Amino acid sequence: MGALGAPGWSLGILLGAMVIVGSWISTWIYVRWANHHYDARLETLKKETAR
Amino acid sequence: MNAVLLQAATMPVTAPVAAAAPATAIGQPNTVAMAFFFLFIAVTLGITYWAARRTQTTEHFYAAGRSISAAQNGFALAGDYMSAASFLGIAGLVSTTGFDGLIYSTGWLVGWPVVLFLVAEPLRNLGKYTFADVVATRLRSTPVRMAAAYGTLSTVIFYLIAQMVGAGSLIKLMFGLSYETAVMIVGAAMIAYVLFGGMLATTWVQIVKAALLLGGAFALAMLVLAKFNMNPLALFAAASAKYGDAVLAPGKLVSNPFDTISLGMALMFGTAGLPHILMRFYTVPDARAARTSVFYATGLIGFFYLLTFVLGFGAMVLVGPDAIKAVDKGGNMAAPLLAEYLGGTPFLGFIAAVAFATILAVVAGLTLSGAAALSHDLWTSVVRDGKARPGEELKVARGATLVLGLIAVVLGIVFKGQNVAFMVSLAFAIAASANFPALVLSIFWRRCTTQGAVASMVIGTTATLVLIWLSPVVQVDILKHEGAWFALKNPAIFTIPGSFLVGIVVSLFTTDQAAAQGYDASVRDMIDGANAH
Repeated sequence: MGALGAPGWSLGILLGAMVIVGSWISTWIYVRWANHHYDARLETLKKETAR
Repeated sequence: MNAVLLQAATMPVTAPVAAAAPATAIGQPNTVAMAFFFLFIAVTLGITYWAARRTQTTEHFYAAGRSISAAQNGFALAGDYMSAASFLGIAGLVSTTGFDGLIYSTGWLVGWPVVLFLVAEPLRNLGKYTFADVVATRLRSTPVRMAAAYGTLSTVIFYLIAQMVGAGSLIKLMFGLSYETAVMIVGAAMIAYVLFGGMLATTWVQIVKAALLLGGAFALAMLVLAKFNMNPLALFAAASAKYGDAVLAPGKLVSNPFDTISLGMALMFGTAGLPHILMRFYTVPDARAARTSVFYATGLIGFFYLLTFVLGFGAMVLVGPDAIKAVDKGGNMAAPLLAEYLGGTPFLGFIAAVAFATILAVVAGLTLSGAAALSHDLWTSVVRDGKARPGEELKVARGATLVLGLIAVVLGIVFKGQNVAFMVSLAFAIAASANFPALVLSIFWRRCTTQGAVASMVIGTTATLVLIWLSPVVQVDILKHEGAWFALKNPAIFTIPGSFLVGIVVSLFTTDQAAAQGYDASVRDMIDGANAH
């Protein structure tokens, strides 16, 4: 987890920053999917079961 | 390897501005700081007054009339979350121990996807006020509420202590008041906010504060990077050149791997059990707004935590660990010292006012959720059996606010000198062991019984409190004993799985027919919204 080639880089710092960016991306993907697909499917399902 | 680390840790470090350290304005009353300070207090009191005129019902006091938009709630969630621990505590830990302090930055952020994927939408759709309301949906109300109040209040009190410690050091250093006086002033101010404004005022104070904190931290980080050609790598390289490669790798702060994993588990799973965060999902109109608000919050908080990388190493290189520890043993004053080094007294004043605003806002949110646990869960639902007179619950909530404020002030004085990020990690350990397992089991597991959920909450909370009491923090740092019974500083690695296990085993050995029968209806509510049918 020490130095990585270029001065100032370390595996620890790189992974730390990647965890934060990865969290952004995963929440973004989920919210997009839920707003576009999940909600629409839920509406259809509710209409079908209401009949 | 260990010898090298040890040597790096104990290596005498020559602080670059050691000569400049006596010139710090910290410790003397500071006009600019006071001006910012009172400006912020005036503005937020104005908000509180405006909100107080709209806070007439319980629904308004706890849930701001469910009128908060997704973006507003995202800012308010971020405001609630980015406490003194995030700003003062992480900067302090990184500047004095290097990379290990960043475990807090990443661990705390990972809590948000956990909240989003597991609890945000079910919570909103059930349409309740408190965490206990949710667990009690299909389980027997009275025992669940009593157990939940126990866990919630323990979490809130530990969280409050940390904020008090941060505020106390800050006010002491800014205005030259004694630590004890400073803690009492903060206590009085926060009680005033919550008593008169309720959730609507607290929400707006959070929004204003989130914007101020992000702006202040961003400006500070830019000033740091300006010294290093706007290149964070040059900053990290300077840190490792000065204090050894070890500051960029794990090992200095948490040398025991079990302690590291334990801390990480508390940070990751604590968020989904924090009563003041969970409470925010009831202030938005629907599930879509709830999930979108988590996305906003994750973005804002993640951005802030990336800044803490720069602030922490900036303070390490520019101010120096020795100078920081000389001012405050827990390292909590690293960010204000960095501000003074880069922008002089006016910038110090601004950053200190932002930090104070941060603390005040978080404390208000926490007190509110603690007051809700006492008045809504214990008084109205248990003592009055759900039949409190109108207005009575609000009175009890206000009394509870007063009591919680007093407890926080007293304990804030006891825990003087601890790092605030570390103190908050203990609150997260309680939340992750007391609330999170019961919440997940009751939402997702049909077989979960009242007895199982109650046992999980009671044993989870008690085990965490006992292990914190037996840990080196209390035994060695506070009680000054030779050693501690329990080696880990954070007990989450045992208490989170333990709490799940207790909940599962007790549920399997008991039967709760009403709970099993109510499961289908509660799942429908969680997916579809409780008010929809």
